[in-house]
Amino acid sequence: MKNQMNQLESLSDEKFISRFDQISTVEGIHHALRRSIEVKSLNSALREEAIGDRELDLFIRHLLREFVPGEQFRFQITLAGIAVACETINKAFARQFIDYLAGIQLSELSVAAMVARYGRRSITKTVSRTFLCSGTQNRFGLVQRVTKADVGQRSKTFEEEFV
Amino acid sequence: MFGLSELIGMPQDGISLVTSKGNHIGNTQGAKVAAGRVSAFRDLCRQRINWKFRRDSYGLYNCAGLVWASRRTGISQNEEWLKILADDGYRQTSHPVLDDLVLYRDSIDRSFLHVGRIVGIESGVSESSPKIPIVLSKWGHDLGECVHFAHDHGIDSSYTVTLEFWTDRPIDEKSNESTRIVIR
Repeated sequence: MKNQMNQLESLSDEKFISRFDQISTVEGIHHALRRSIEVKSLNSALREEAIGDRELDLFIRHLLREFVPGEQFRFQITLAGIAVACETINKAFARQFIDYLAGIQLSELSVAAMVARYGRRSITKTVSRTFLCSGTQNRFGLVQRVTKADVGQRSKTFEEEFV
Repeated sequence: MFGLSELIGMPQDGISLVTSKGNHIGNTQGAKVAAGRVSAFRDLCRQRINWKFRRDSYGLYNCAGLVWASRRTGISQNEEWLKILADDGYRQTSHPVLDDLVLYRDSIDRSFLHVGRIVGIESGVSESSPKIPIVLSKWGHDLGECVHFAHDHGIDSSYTVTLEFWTDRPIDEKSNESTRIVIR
């Protein structure tokens, strides 16, 4: 349990948060979060069910104790990182968390909410991707359409992005 | 669940902002900065000895808001940056002059990270050395403003950063075209 909580706590570490201090765009933050070891590690823990909805709920409620109305929330990057880690998790609570965060229209949480919205848009919008398959004499392209209906099953593409 | 829906705060808001072609620019005004962010930025300026402090941490606007919205709001989405660059007639240049822009991009996925305005061009160590652009910019969503060398950006080393210079000068203007700029 302690180790699992550490994967969440590493996202609230000051050193982790400060890595994103100088970045001004939602995309810049989202992509860097997705590449970070801390978010990948949390994603694995969520996928392997080492961290479940109860742990996530407790952790987020603990963070929100520091929410001050009228002030930018100091753990916005932490919340955004959790949302990014949840993007490929096929669990109701993961989807629910992204939806809650993306739906927030508060100035104090605007960065975290925008990152969650961007992540949700990248998952749910219809995308066409070309996979080049090898292993046979001929290389061929296969276009896969991922729609909102497919998201429940999670496309292999999105899973692979975390590996 | 999560306690997020129970929060009470300031409604997220933007202002009327359009490109020169009249297209709306999505923007968000940030809340005031959290306690501790002012000293965090002052400490950062002390650590980076070549940075010249201009303004304390401030939440209302970000770097793009400084450059394109006169410090009135934050512009945080790549598509909005691209819209401004296209509608307002910006083009990339390898010969920036005063008041041109430097855009910092993530080399891996090409997303924009930061933008600043060139407020000076400093000579290199010798006559033949490349000139060095000096930039005024505002860092992130909740830090302050400083003047710094273009390459001395302070973006975390986990990013691989590419610098691009952009100008709104017409393409046939040849002023300072011979200026060589160093990009590290």
